[in-house]
Amino acid sequence: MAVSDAHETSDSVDLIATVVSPEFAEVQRLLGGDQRAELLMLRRRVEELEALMMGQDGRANAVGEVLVDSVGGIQATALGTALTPSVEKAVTLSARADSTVLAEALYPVMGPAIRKMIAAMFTPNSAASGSFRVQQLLLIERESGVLLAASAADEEDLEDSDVVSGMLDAIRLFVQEAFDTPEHDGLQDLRVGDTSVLVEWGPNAVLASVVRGVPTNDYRRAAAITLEELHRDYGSELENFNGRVDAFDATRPRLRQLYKAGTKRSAAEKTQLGLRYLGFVVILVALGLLIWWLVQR
Amino acid sequence: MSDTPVYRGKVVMIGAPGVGKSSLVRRFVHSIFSDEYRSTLGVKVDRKTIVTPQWSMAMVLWDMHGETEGLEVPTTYLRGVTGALVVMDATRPETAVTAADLCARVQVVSPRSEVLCIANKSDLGVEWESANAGAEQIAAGEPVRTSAKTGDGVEDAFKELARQIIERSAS
Repeated sequence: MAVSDAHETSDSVDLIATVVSPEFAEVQRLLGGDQRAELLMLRRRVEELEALMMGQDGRANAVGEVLVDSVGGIQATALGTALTPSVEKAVTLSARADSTVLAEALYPVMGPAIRKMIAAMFTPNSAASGSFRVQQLLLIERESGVLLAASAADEEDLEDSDVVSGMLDAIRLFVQEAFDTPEHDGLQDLRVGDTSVLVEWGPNAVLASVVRGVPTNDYRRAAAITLEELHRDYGSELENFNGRVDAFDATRPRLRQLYKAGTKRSAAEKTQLGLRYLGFVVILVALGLLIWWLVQR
Repeated sequence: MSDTPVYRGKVVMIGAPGVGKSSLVRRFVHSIFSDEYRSTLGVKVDRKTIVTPQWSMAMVLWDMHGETEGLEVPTTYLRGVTGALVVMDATRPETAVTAADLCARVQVVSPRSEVLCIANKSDLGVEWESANAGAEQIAAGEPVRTSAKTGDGVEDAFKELARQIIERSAS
């Protein structure tokens, strides 16, 4: 009988040998010994690996198993370094394609962080809040943007208030037209450097506070309450506004009250002011004692 | 409330480009903002105060960019308007067509407003017939003749509009 082809499996060879000649099988066993079993095992293992690597899914699964171990193991830093350029590229491409995807994904993280930062900025006891001062208060008719009443420290500052209120309304309309924002959305806050314009909206009137510095939440609340009270007390005049603004002269004391509430000194300013008064008192007392001593002599 | 009624109203200056809206405003009103705002916001706000023994009125003037095809004055800018000065160029009858359209738009968007039409540049001595040909389309009637250059008729135009506004408010 011819010797079997070397490429045939040992199982095939064994089968042939068994079929053909039990003596042949015995010879093989004597020649190979235990190594045959080991060879069979290795061959089966190679066949399994070949089957695994044949399909894309198989290769992906194999790499995935190794990757999981690498990320959690000592290779994690090296893997991170290697992946960084690709991740940066991917994020950039995603942001350019559709920024809302990343914004929505990050919102649960960024929202609380932003609110925390804003709360820190506007907390009265925060070191970042400092002092603020209301420079002007403008009560404005909502539909036309016409100034109804105003309050400020200096009456001269009110000279152009009606033009300022008109420009605020023009800015609101410009933003609505340019960016197609809903008409019921009103201008909220404007900020340039240290100066802000805070805007509270009511159904018939708007209250704009021109503020220098960072206003507190207490002030914002007070402004909202003032506007509500004005709507309550002047509702009829506001609803039937016919251009006659002297009907709103009586709102000035209320605005003045809010204006005074809108002045907050920082703790440092208070300390400095206190020291100045104390120093003045000490000087006066010292002068008084000196005069008394001179008189006594 | 004071003895002399005090009024304040939003008055828009509208019309075709180059009819002299800004010239009318520049000559007789108090300006605190520069003209550049008109190119950015489409509007510049000024104030014109009329004082009479019977009443006083502060007109907050919205000097709008000129209305052309493809660049209309936004309807939102015409809301809450107390009065409108619709300006046309007496030397260009076609500007009366734009003026007529704008008159109609203002009266639809702000039905309680008063509208006064002005034929500016009347100092150029244009025969009124040619201006009238366009002016016929203006439902408000014969335009008030003004000249921003010489000042003729401008103060009267603002006063007339203020009077009409207050008459309507009082009624």
